[in-house]
Amino acid sequence: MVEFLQFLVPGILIGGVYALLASGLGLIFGVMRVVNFAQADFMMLAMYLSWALFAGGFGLDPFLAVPAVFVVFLLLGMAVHWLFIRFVIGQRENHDAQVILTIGLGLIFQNLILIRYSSEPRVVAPAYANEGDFIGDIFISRVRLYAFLLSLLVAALLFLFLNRTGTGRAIRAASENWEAATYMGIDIDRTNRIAFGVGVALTAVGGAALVTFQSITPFVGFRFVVVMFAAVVLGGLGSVSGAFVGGVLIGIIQSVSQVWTSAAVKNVWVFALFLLILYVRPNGLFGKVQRAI
Amino acid sequence: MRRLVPFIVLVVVVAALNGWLDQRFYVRVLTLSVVWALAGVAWNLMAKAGQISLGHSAFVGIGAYGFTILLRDSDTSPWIGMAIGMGVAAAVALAVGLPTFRLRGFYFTLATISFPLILELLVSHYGDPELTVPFHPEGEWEFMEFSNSHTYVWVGLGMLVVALAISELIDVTSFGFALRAVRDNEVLARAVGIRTVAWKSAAFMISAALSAAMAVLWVKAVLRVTVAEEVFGITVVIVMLSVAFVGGVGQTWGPVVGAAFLIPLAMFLDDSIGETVPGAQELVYAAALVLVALLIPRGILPAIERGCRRIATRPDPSRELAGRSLLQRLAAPSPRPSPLLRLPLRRQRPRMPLPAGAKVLEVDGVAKSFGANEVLSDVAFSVDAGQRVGIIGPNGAGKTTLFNIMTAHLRADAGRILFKGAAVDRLRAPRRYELGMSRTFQVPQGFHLMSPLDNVVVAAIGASLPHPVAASMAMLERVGLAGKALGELSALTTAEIKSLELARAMVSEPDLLLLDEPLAGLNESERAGFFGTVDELVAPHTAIVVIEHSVRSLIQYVESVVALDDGRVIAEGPPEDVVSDPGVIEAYLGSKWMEHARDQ
Amino acid sequence: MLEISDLCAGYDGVPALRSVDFRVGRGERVAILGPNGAGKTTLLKAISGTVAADSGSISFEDRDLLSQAPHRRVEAGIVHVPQGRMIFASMTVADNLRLGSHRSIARDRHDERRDLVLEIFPALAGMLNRDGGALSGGQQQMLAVARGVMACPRLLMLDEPSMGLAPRAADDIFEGIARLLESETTAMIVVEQRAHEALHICDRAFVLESGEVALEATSRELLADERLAAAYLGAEI
Repeated sequence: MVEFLQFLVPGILIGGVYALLASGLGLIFGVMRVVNFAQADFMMLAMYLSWALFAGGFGLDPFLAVPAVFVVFLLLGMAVHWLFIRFVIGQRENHDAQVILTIGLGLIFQNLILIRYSSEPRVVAPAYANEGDFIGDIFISRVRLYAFLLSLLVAALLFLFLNRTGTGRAIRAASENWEAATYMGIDIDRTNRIAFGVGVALTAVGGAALVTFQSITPFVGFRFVVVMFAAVVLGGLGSVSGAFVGGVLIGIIQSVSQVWTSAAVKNVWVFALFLLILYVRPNGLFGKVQRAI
Repeated sequence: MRRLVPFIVLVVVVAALNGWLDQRFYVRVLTLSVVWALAGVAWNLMAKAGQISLGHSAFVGIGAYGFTILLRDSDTSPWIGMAIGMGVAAAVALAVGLPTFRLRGFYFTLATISFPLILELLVSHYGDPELTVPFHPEGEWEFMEFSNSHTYVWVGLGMLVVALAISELIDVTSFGFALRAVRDNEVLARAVGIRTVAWKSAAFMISAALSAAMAVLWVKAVLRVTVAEEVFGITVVIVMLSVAFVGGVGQTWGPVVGAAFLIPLAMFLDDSIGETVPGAQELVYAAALVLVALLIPRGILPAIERGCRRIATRPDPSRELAGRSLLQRLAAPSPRPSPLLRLPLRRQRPRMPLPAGAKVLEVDGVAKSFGANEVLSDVAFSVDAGQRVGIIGPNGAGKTTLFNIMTAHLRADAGRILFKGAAVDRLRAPRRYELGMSRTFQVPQGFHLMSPLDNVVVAAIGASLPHPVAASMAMLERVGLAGKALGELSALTTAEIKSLELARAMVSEPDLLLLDEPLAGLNESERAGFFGTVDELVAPHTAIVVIEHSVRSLIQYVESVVALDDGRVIAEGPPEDVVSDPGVIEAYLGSKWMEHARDQ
Repeated sequence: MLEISDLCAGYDGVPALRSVDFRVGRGERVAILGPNGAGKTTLLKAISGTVAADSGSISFEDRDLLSQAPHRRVEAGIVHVPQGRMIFASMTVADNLRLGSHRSIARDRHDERRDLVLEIFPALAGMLNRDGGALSGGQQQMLAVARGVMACPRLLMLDEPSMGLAPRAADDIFEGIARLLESETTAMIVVEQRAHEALHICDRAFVLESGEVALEATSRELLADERLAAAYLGAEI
């Protein structure tokens, strides 16, 4: 039992961060039906920004740098939407274009970083990086706890933004029914742009929360691709809250699987679950099963 | 003959380059161009059905590891290893593809992206992250151990030609028709009997097998070691995507054009500045993807084709075809070939005859709710052979839902649908079509990338007709579209598209024809002629069910009317009785209208 | 106020409107009648901008509308209450109403307008915190109309407000609209299947058939015109 808890607790903690990563992807899909294959690379960019702010002379604590990361990536996301994404939204024929455009953008990010910083792994190690506390027999890493609390905080702020602000309501309205939102006088292009910015920024903050215990390379995004897409499908494509729950569940599955198999293959379990979900509940754990017959 | 020309050009060009180039680097560029063209052709088979796979490196990895392990452990020839790898890759493709092929949208792409990452994890953890390919100088051909690096180019060229031939063969058979139909309009494809899941699975399996074959050549000719990170890596997929999308997604020759252009560009760039700019190659692919997405989403070949067609069709009254410029003559679209071959995959099933005295269609107690909203409740009616029945009702009465249930787009919550006496509730759209149920669509549907003739041919293939092209052409003649059979779909008028829909629905000689608002979009005179065309096409025994908004036109045509309101049948019988039924008038015009009319 | 001339529009190349001329004066209430599929909804969508016009012109208060994005048209005061209600089902009634006052002029007057719509549709007052999806069909339709009224429309367009409703619920909707028109001077276009109810609250009506204007008359004239029934059902009553 204790052994089980020793895996469960860190699983929940990392799951919070996964939730954040996935919620950005879920928000973007929900609002504009675009699967952003560059999402994990925005995470990677955010990790480098966090590292630069920490190691590049500023000595800024990665958790304190989060607001700056959020703002930078909000603007970056909006710019990417304005420059690229808006041209491939809407038409039926554009599905292929969306896939290759976002893959291409992600690849460009990876290689620009590779050229600038090489593939040498970078680490962000604040003084408290290895500290932690025992609660009973269970060790709780300080940085992972902070990352989890940060995720909860951002989730709460996201909830307030989507439910209590005019722009947030407009985004929800557009994601539920863009035609009705148009009749309300909502500028769909603007809500798309903001939603893309916020979605990218959410994932970026998730990346910033990871840097204290995840080394950074230009290709670090691949480690999280499985996790992010599985979480989004698990929670139901397009649902932000679903993606959140999906993220936490995946953190738990990854971690608890280590009771039986090596940590190196934890993502195999995630993928098996992902395929299983597609088989039995393609609209996610919480969605209604709807299938073309 | 026309189809052989590109093959000859390819062989001549590659052979010339192979004979002429002797510097190691250039031979390497040539080899890799051939390898990636092969990979792109394999990947593109799946794209013919409109499916974007991001997981093909899984099959490359399986092929590479498969032959290396067999060679290492049992000295198995790489050729045999290749065959085994191809089989395994095909089986794995089926397992990953099946759960997603039934779902629409992004699921296939999503499912494929993580798959190679997982295999890489498994192989690295439980197997070897890196395998050296054992050296077997004793058997040059047996062990693909060529001392002359030019020989790899010859082998690669041979494999590429085989892959292209397979791709070309798919294009001209009913297989290719089915894939193009799926990509163009999956709902319509299923409605005309195309078993989309089976065809997609077959394409994915062949595509996976060819990818595994390419892996053996790649490792033997270039890599020399099998590294999990490399053969399962995302870069494999990126290059496949790039060559296919740049050349022409879904086009047989697209990846060859894409590879001829991109691979040398990326390699020369890497050779010149790769030392200082480590990601130069990948940036070429990435930039290509972004530019193609924004500028020519279908790729170079289709863009050129479109340009040529514009030149070829430029009016030039002074000269006949013989006098046209060479460019114009080359660019003139060849008369579109319809399937030359029919795959003998399925025997035409003898259609179940209508049992004596049985109804063609019986709808019995059908109910359907969306959430708390009950759209249909206890709907029942039946249709005899040769009978024409109209279904009317105000907006929101449930007509469309009822139609969707009859055509297998929705499943009823309760009740039964009997077709020729047998329950068809559990049967999906393609099967219902095969049994003899045809339909048209409210918003006319078409395969927009195909000619009008091919639009009908798909339906003929779906019905397993012995001579699909002849039957389709005959059908087009009957609806008066023979003159436009090989043109573009977009050139047809609304009325002609409606006729084409009828031709497509009738080519299988169905026992039941379901028409969904056939008059929408037609003007007054076209409306008058429409039902006349229907009558000319249908056999006497064919029953017809029409859902139509325009009650006035409908009641002149049908023998019986079913009126729906609020999801219930409120009247049924001869048209004149139904439209004077007070309940029907109330449903259409409001309760107060009746009071008012009475006062007058 | 609204002037449409020679308008042609359709979906995927299938024409739904053929050369429609149509005008609405300031404060005027106009009904659009006609059988299903005649092009009524397409006309409203062309005005609000969710269907593109193939040719012709639409101007609102002497400004060209066709060049403006749909949300700019709402800003100008054209508010469309679509067919099928299109309630934001996962949001509360209060949030739905708040989205109704997204138009900038309406934002500051939110509380005042909310009081007005709750007066018109008292049934909504008790369910402000309920999700839109949890309402009955009739209540959803009330919410849809109320949401449109929140925007302080200069031209309110109602598409089939009684569609799919039981007669009692439809009566409630029309009573609410009648109450609204007592206090508001907004111009209105109503597309409606129940001809009598629509003519009752409108000054004038157009009958569309196969995408063309077949009849245009005052409500009084049309109520006595048997051709209207013929247009719907093709039979003499």
